[in-house]
Amino acid sequence: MSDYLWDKTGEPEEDVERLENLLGALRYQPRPLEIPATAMPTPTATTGARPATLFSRPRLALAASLVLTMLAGAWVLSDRGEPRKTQLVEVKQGSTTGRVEGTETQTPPKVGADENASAVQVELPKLEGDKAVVATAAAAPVPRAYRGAARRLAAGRQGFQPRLKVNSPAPHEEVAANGGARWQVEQPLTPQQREATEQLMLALRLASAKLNYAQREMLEIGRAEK
Amino acid sequence: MYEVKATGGMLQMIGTDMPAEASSQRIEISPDAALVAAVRAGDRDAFGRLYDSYSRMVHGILLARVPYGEVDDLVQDVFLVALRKIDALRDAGAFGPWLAMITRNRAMDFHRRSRDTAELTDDIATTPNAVAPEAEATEVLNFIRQLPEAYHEPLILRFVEGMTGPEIAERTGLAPASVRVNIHRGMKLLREKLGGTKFGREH
Repeated sequence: MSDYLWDKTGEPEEDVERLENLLGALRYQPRPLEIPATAMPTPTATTGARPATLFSRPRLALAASLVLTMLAGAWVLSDRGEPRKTQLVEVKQGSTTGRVEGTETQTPPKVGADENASAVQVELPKLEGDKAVVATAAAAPVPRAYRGAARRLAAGRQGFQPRLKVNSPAPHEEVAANGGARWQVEQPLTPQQREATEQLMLALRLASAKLNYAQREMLEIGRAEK
Repeated sequence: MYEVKATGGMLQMIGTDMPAEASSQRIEISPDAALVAAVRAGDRDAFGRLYDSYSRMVHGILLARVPYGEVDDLVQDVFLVALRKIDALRDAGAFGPWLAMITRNRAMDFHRRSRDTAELTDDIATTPNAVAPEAEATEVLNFIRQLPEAYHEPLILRFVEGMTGPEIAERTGLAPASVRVNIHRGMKLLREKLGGTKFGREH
């Protein structure tokens, strides 16, 4: 079936033909295109295709954010090698010595399971009621695995005050059987650690912003080419 | 080594000094893609041919959006923008749709800029060198612009630029079916609009 309005085949309708004639007066009258000499693109060395797309801005931004994310990840992983921020100090009532357990491990030490093998003897000040301050260094020789905890305990002498919590001894714990009290030392972040954490968060925010920017750029290019 | 043959609307690159199996593989590239590649290589004439092919489309798209008196200069602007940005075109075969998008963006820029300066009118009948047929055509053009926006481009490309429906679809990258629907529906609405006017009465 012919459709003159669509593809100019067949018999034209009168009003369509009249509109063609009338509006044809506004048709584009070709005139030479004036191209400034500087407007022509510089030919590329190989195929003349788009040059150096490998280093386009979105790709650079994406690569930079990936590198930042990897660096941040590496920093976080390396921080895991540091001793835990919480140690358990076992002190006997009225005693000036205590034990620090499992300082270099990620999992909490099992209480009562061969405690002597995973504990370090440390000297503590005499306890006064519920208040106590860990203020003594580990007794020498300190095994390598527990040196971090010993260092932190020693730092208490230089102004660092670990917070001590008194836990009710559980009946199954050997500590309770010995009549000892269980103390948990929670160390707050040092200024250096806090600063490093803030830097990490900043790096992650930066990486996120760069990813968003790269995504926007790519969408924009895609829209422009459609 | 490739031999280039033109078949229909496509160019074929056929391997000539390759084994029989390999030479049977043909890479088909559109003429536009070949011209775009030539322009990228610094060929001015190739860009001239693209200009010849697409200037009517650009003119029609602009005419659907900006005053008639401004269109000719904007056509030149659009092609210069396209030339400057041609390295950003990824699919060289899609030059037409890409150019249509640049044209629409340029028309929007025109309105953004003119908002701060002076109000433009399309009343070319008041200009000293306006001739009667152009004045009547501009009147009908204004009726087309009063229709829903989707019908402006297809109707103007069809009636002003004299392009066929399939040609409009191919050049602008729009779906042929939607161009067809828009031309027919637009024409129906235009008939209704022109019904009470001198253009309708002649019918």
